[in-house]
Amino acid sequence: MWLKLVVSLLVLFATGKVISQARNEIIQQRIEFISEQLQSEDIDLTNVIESLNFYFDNKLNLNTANTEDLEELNLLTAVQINDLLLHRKLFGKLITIYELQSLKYWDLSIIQLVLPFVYVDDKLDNLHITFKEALKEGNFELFTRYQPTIEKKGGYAPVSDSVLNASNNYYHGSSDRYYTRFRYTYKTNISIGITAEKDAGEQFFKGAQKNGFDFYSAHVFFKGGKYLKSFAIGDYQVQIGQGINMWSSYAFGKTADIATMKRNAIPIRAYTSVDESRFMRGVAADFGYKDFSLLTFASVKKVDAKQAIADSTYDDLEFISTIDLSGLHRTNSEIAKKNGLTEYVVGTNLRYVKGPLRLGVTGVAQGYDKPYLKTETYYNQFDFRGKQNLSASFDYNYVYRNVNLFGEMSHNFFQYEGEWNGGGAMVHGAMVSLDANASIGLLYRNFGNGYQTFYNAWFSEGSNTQNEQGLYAGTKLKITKAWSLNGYIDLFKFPWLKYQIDAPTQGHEFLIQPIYKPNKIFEIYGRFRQQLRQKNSRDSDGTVTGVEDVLQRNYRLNVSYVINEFFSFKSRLEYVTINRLSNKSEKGMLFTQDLLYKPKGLPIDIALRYALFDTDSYDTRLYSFENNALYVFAVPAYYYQGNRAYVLVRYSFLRHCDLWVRYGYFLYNNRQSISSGSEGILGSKKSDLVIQLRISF
Amino acid sequence: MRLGTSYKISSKVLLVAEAEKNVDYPLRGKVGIEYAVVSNFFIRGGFATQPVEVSFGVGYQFKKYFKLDLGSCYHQTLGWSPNFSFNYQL
Repeated sequence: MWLKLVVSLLVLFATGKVISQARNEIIQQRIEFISEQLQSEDIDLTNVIESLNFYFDNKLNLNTANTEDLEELNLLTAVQINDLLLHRKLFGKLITIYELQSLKYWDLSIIQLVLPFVYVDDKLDNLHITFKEALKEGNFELFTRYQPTIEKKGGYAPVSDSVLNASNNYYHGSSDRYYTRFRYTYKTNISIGITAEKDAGEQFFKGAQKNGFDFYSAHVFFKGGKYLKSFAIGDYQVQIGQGINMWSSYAFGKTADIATMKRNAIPIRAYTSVDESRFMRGVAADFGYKDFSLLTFASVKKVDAKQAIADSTYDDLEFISTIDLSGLHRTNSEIAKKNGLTEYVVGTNLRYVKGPLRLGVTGVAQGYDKPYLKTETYYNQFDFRGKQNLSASFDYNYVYRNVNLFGEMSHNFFQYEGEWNGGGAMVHGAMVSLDANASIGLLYRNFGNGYQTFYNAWFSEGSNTQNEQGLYAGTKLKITKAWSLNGYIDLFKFPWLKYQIDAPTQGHEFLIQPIYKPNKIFEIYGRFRQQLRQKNSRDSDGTVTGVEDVLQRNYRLNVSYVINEFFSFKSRLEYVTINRLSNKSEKGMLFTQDLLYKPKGLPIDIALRYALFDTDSYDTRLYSFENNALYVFAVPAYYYQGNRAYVLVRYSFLRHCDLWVRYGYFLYNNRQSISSGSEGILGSKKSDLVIQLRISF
Repeated sequence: MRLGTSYKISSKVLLVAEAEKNVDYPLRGKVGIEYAVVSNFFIRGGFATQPVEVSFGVGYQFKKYFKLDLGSCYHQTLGWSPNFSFNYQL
């Protein structure tokens, strides 16, 4: 038995390359799924990928790693972490990595997942930073990226200055997108960086952009002191509890893997991405003393907002009617919105950690320099209005044997027209490892109508943690050595109206995914997902619009095959149907073929895709994750009829440099134009180009 | 008409699946999982389609011959429907 295990682990070590592909695959699948849930093409998961990439280069010592380090990997469940810590407590340090086999809730597949990011060493990594060492051991990284728009869009039409200044349809700047980032890191302990970005259509060193780039971000970050656990000046992210009160970065939503239903908060982390609204700007510090930790943070930043014309009610008052989170400043109206509002956020979070128990209390205050008053309609009448929103929450996490219980309760308060408003929200979950090969997750969520905080990240059907109740149950089973099964069911209801839904509604979603993986090189999985939601009927006599069931079914078949050390293939067939009473049934399909090629003896990686798609409408669009340059995310929607291809080449040279070049196109059938207005293209082809250079030393 | 199967993943975990057809209604698929917390106490969870329902339950086996099961299934519109059974095995 032991011999067999040792042999199987040796095989794992010997095929490190295959493992790293599996890692990319995991990241890829998660990002793909989250993007489907968000139904958006613009996502930014820099942090998630960064931490995995980081631990790939700076492996984690399993003998010294604490709960927080292990959580940051995002691969282990709380039960598995507890299992390891308990093992260390009972039997002392791990002598070899093979010892992981003796852990009750760690099976071979989880060891395989974690292995690329960890090692075992009995030496203590003493944090001892001298200036000389930090300079010598530190890592400098410089990224520059260029993304031109190839086909000319409507907004870039050459028009006279008088038209340009009078209209909101034309872009002031060039159609290129530039990005640059410089960062110095020393292990996980120090990070200093600056990021700058100009979006397509924005000006560069002229007009509204006197300072060059449209968006700048900088940070100084430290982690690892005895009492000062972490510290940030500049731009940073804050994560607290289960994310229903305060969580400034993105988090995974509902995915085929139940492990993503739980949030593992990292109190402070450096901000390195280019989302122009979801981050904090100011100072944050996390102090620790014995079993207690105290996080305090303060942020002041400008946000884009539309100044409203004062009406009689607010005669002598300036107020804001819309906040714009897109971060685009291309047209007159977008430029006019820039920095229209100042946002203040202060908060504190006290945590108590004792073994497997973790408790936290949090208070956050968010304010604006001008009142934020949305136009009132039936569906949004409970929303935040005013100048200040206060929220308080309590969160817990507890591991007992094979059961992990976690949750958070939160309440917010704001004063509007002399009255206190607000609502409550809570999540309670349990993750149970029944065995090394079977785990289940249960989660209850209840978000009140009036509940609102601005920076939160919970998986909800709606776009925010408001007006929703749901029960989610998922499972992950390893049935035989080759077969495994993932699945979940989620029942939800929305007790109040929603945007373009004129009644309280309910729905469900379930997913089942059998996976057959007989060996390290071949995997096939099928996936079926059914979503039922209620939406406004498209048949309306103009008075009362009823709601109807909208049933969406997605089918997927995915095959991946590592042919040899040079070639690997991935093929996918995806099919979607949508049925609703007021419309004929619609369908869509997407067929993709990916090829990864690593020529022998050349410092080059090549990724190729060819895809055919045929969907009846935009509603039946299908999203597909695409390989791209490091830290560029592309999950475009495929819709209408046509084909798609891209080629991505990564070339490593001079030991310290990597160059990525990616060219792709969509070629639509039977179309004379794509989109309309400023983003419209005359013609049936839309192409994209990314050129990125990284220098690291 | 119903057709079902079960599969024991490990000594503690049992998977079950069933298809049920009534002439007037669409085919229902049902899956369930049973976990033996200790050798004679079970926790169960299940899910069925057409219509969508989830269910939870516990079972207790005592004195070798007697078995008591409690369960409840939840339908989004109809709410909870509790069931119980008491078995005596000769």
